[in-house]
Amino acid sequence: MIAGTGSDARDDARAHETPAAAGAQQGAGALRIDKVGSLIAALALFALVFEPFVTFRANRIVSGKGLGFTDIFAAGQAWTFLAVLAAGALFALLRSRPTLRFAVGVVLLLTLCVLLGLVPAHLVTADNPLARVSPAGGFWILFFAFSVLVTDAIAKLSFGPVQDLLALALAAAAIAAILSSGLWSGLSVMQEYANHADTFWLEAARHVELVTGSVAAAVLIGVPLGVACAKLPALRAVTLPVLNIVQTIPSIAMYGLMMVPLALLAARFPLLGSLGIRGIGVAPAGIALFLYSLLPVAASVVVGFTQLPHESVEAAAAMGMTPRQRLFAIELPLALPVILTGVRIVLVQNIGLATVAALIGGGGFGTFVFQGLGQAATDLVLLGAVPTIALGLAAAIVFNAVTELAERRH
Amino acid sequence: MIEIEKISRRFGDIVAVDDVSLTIERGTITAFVGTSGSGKSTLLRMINRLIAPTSGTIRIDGRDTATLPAEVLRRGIGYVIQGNGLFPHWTVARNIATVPRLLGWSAARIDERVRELLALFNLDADAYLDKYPHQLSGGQQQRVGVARALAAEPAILLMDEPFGALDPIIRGKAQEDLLALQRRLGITVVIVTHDMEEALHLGDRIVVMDGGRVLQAATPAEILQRPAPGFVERLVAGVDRPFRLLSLIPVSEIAEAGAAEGNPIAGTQSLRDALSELLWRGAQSLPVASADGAAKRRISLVSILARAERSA
Repeated sequence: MIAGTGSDARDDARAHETPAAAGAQQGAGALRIDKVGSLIAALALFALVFEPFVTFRANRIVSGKGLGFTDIFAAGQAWTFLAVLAAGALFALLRSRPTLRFAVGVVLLLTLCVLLGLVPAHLVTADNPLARVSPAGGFWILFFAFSVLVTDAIAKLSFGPVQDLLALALAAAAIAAILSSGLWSGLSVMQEYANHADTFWLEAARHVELVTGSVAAAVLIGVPLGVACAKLPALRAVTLPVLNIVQTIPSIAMYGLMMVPLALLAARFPLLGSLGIRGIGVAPAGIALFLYSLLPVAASVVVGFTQLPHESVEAAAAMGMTPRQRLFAIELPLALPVILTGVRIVLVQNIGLATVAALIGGGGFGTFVFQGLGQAATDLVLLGAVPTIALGLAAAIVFNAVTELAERRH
Repeated sequence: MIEIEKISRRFGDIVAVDDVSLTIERGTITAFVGTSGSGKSTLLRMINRLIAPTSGTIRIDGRDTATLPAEVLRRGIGYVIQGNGLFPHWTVARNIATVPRLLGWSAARIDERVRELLALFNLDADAYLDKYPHQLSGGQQQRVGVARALAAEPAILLMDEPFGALDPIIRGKAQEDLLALQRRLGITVVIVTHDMEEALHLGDRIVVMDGGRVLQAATPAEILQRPAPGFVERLVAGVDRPFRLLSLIPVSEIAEAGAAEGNPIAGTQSLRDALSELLWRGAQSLPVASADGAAKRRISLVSILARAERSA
């Protein structure tokens, strides 16, 4: 959008006869304020002035106090950092080319990560070895503001699927580099990670298994169910309201409801129990996630089918295609974009919902969240929450890119 | 030949088509005309059993269509729909190849046929084979739609408001193309339209429908000169009847013996052309072109005016 108006302005400038007029026009363009940028700048400046950058605690559990740059670093350093970040906010405020905004945004985010990594060395000393440092409001708000700068630039650059995947890969590589370099190892979250390193990757794998298993099952059952609902109004009238009600059951209640019948089943048929179908554990968690996924998948199939171009469907019949040929050659391919949207929603939804599975022994990142809640250890909660969010974001980007690549082959 | 015998179709309490009997001759264009809800589309769709009749039979070349599986029947009948109904996720080539593929033609034969059809419709094969429908203009989409319907060389072509979505100029061109195509291939065409002008222009025979019944089935000249009282009469009152009528009659039909001044007019041209020519020249009569040695003939203004009267 902005890139478009920018080039318009240049065309306008060329349309003017005198070079002076053109110069004035371009000068005015260079000083214009960016709408999204003003929000970014406001957020960043607010965070710099009023919000603590980190929280410092004497040990893992006591409540901490917030510290700003001037409390952490020597005055000269602190004011340099503040000036750099404030300059970043001002840059965001003024209109500029999306490529430049993208690059500056990335640099600002990296700067922020490095600054955060520098903090513990200044605060945790030999006489307080149990002290903990974790990012506070100021860091999060700045991180959010500069992320908006980057994503806004990406939107204006209108990245294709390949570029999206590349950007994601670079971001992942940057995070991996920061984590393996030990830059953040003084941070409280990383100390929690060090304490739980043996189970972290097990729970991560369990989380991914729960999500992929439940989404795959939902697609395998939900798509045929959706097709049947689209073809048979009577079935649709019964099925969709029932799935709607399932969707509204709170997740904790759903897990509770799963426990009783599954426990009874396992007691009656020991074979099932030995297969892992029990009142608690992975089975009820997976089944609950599957049930939550069924409505979005089936409903997106129904919506996809109702939006089919009527003439094409009639032409397919009139050309002499059998109902089966029509379904696989015409109806499903044409409804596919809508169906994939439903699957993407379910994928991201289940990545978040799967955290609750830890409550009934289903494992996953939720394990750390609930342990952290139990111990009043915020950083342990973060160890569960941040990877969940990252996984959800990455899954959405990958899924969108793959979908676009698949559709492009038409 | 398509024989429609005592065909009815009910949708719940509504009778869409009510006891219609009709014979459509091989190699002709028949136009079903009526307002929406007249049953004309339902009647058309019962010919390829997109809609099953509630009662009655339809025979094609003597064979009851109910005895064939619907898919087999439809693969032998071309079908063109308003808004073309092309498959948006398939290329032009794949769209045209739909029925040949269903019939299991070899890839080489399909490719040859697709190129042949694109040439017939004045579309450059190499430029259009791999295009998607959304990359074509409305007129091009319409032509590809007809090409697809004709791909497996059907003897019958059913068209449901095929030109409804086209602008007037493209529409006129598409109508001329259809007439030329029908003469060239000798196929039987049944076209549904709500436009009496279009029906008069295209149809060898016109079937006017209202409320599920056939009010009149006749040649264009008959419809113009002797419309059934009531609905049909009101329908044809909307067209320039005398001019329409004159455009249906060749000059040779009422040429008289005698000489006249000026450039001769061909006997195959219509009386409407002759009238136009006479008015433009301000003449009372025109010579009619004739082979050398044949007796001289002419066409006069008076005789044309007399022919244009209703009672003629």
